[in-house]
Amino acid sequence: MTLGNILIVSVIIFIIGLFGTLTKKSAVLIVMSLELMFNAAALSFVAFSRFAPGGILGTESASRVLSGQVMAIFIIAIGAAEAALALSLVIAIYKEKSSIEINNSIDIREA
Amino acid sequence: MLIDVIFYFISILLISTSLLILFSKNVYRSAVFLAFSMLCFAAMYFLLSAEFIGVIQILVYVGAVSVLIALSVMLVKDVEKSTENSNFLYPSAIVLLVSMILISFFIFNFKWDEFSNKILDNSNCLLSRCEPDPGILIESTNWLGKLITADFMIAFQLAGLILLASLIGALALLRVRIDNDSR
Repeated sequence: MTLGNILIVSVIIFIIGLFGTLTKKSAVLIVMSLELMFNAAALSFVAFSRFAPGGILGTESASRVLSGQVMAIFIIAIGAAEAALALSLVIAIYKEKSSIEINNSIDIREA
Repeated sequence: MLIDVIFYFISILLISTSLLILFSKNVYRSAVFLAFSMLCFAAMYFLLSAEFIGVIQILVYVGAVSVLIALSVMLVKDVEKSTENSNFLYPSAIVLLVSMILISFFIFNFKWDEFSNKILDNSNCLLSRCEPDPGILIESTNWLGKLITADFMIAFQLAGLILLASLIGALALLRVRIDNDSR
């Protein structure tokens, strides 16, 4: 388990999420793919934090080593906010259009 | 050795459940596979000795976001049609192929040794196996609390503000719809 291995796993998950975001028609599946991309980014942050040099206990060392984990916490908070907002938007579109397909004719100004 | 076996096992599980999210025939199953995939992410965080992040991941994603997505799948009832691909399948496949080629060129041409010497302070963990000093990661939860409430205080408050804004936005979106229905 090296840093390179974890970064490769993170890139693969990110590309799977990007593929789903670009190719799926259903809005719910697009939200799921977005969550995958968020988590791939958080995984690479935590991996850099794990392999950062210098583990001596102290304030200066803590802010250098653990900044990656703090970023992962913020990513999780933003991801939760995004999921709630996106799903309420999906339900609003479904009530307007009776369909959640993302296509060219979608118009949510009235929704 | 054992940790390598566990790492490869979790990686394979993670990648296969992430692929199954996109290629299963039923959206509800996709939501369940999303919960599995988030559990695999949490296992990866435990493996990287970030216990607090793993617990938060299980609480937020497996407990809240997956349930939210499964509930909205049940509300929408468009299950059989909604796993289709859009018209952009072939253009986006080409775009992804090009970007994968570019990323692999980057990985193979990047000077990893120089990066390891300069940025990672000669920590040497980039491509070869090593056991980094656990040091501060033993008490990581304690130090994370101190760090969030001292160095990242403004960002922490802004994250709370964003959560409040998204809550109000979600309520406002659905409230407008109910008004239109009653008219």
